Amino acid sequence: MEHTDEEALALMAIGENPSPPDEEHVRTCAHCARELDALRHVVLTMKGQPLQEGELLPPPADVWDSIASELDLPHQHEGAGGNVGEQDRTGGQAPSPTPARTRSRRLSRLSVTLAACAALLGAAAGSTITWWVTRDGTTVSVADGRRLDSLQANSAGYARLNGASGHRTLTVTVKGLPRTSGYFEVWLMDRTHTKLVSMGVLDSKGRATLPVPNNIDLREYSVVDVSVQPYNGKPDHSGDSIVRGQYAG
Amino acid sequence: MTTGWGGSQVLAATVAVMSTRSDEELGQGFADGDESCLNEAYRRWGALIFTVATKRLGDTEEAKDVTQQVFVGAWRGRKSYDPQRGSLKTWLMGITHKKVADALIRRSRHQRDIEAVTVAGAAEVTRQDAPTDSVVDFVVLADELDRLPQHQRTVLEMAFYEDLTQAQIAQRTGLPLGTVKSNTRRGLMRMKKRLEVDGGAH
Repeated sequence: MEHTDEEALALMAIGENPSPPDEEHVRTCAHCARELDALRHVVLTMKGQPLQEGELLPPPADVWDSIASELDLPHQHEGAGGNVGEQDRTGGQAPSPTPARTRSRRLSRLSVTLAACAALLGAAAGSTITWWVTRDGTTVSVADGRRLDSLQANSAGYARLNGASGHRTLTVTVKGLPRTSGYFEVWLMDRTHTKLVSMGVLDSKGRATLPVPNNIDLREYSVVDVSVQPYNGKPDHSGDSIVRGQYAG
Repeated sequence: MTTGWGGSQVLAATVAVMSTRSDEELGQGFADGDESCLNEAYRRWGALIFTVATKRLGDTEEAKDVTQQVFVGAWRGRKSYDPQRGSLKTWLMGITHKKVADALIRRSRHQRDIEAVTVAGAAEVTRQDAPTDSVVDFVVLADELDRLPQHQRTVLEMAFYEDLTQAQIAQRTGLPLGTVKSNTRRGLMRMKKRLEVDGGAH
C-alpha cells in the first residue's frame, strides 16, 4: 500500500478526522507513524497545554497602568483592572466568544439543566409549557420536548414535533454535546434503526428546527437520533449517536 | 415555541451593555486607532495572554512584562493588523508567542552570562533554569512560524491559538477549504523540517 500523503498526515496532526484507510495505514506503517508523530509534536508544542476552566489568571492591576503610561494614554482604569479574569475562559480552544456570549453560554448550561427539570415537571403536570424563574429573577420559558435516551454521558436531548400535516417541523435540542471537529446530524429512524432519513444538522447551540417532508410516514419513522459526524464528505450515519428516542407531539 | 435559551439571552443583553462591540468591531476599531478598543481588548484577552505567558515562562514577573509588551507592541504596530485577515485575538496571541519566545531567548543568554562568570552559580542555575527540549523546540518553532508566508502563518495561528478546524478557518478567512488545507500542510511541513535541523530533541 502507498504511504499516506503529506496533507493527510498534516491534517491528522492538527486534529482533523482522518479517513479510515489513512487511519488504518498510520497504525500499521512505522514510517508514516513517525512522520505523524513529528508533525504532532510541532502542533502540541505550539498549542501548549490547553487551559482548564477556572485556570485563567487575571493580570495584576499594575500591568494596565504600565501599558497606559508607556503609551501615554489617559488613564482608563475603570473597567480595565477588576474584571479581566471574567472574560474569555476558553483559552485557545474555541472560536473567540465575546464576553457576553461566553457568559450566556455558561448561563445556557444552567438554563438547560433547569429546562430538563422543568420539562419533567411540565410532563408530570400535563402542561406543554412550564414557566421557570431563575435565581437571577429572569423568567425562562421551557418547552417540554420529550427527553431522548442519552447514548453518551453528559449529553441530554429533547425532541418535539410541531404543526399540522403539511407544515410539520421537528425541533431538537441537545445539551452537553461532545467536542468535535465535525458536526451533529439529526436523523429519523424506524424502530429497528435500519431505515434512516437525514433531517439536517444542529446549530452551534445544539438546536435545530427542521421541516419534515409530507410524505414521511411518522408511524414508521418514529425515532429521532442525533449523531456526531466526522467532516469527511461521507453522507452515511457515523454510527456514533449521542441521543436517540421517540419525539413528543 | 420557546425553550431555556430565551432567559439566557435576556441576561446576555444585560451583560452586553458593558461591552456591545463584537470581536470584529473591536478589531476594526483597534486597527483604526480607537484607544477605547485597546482598553477593551485588554479586558477581553489580558487574562488569557497573561495566563499563557505565565504557563510558558513559569514566572509571574516575566509574564507581566510580556503582557505589557504584547499590548504596547500591538498598539504601536496596529497598522500592520489587518482585520480582514484574521481576528484581533489570534493576532494578539501570535504576538504573545513571539514575545514569550524572545523572553526565553533572553533568559538563556542571561544564563550563559552567569555560567561564564560563576562556576558555583552555574550549577545552581542549570539545575533550575536549563531550557528543556520542549522550550528549545518552542523557541525554534515560534521563529519559524514567524518566517512563514503570511497565508500559511495565518491558518496555522488560527489552528494553534484558537483551535479552529480547517472548515472554520476557511469560513473565517474566506479562503477555499482546499487552500486552507494546502497552506496548513506547507506551513506544518516547514516547521517540522526546521525542527529536525535546529530542534532540541535529538
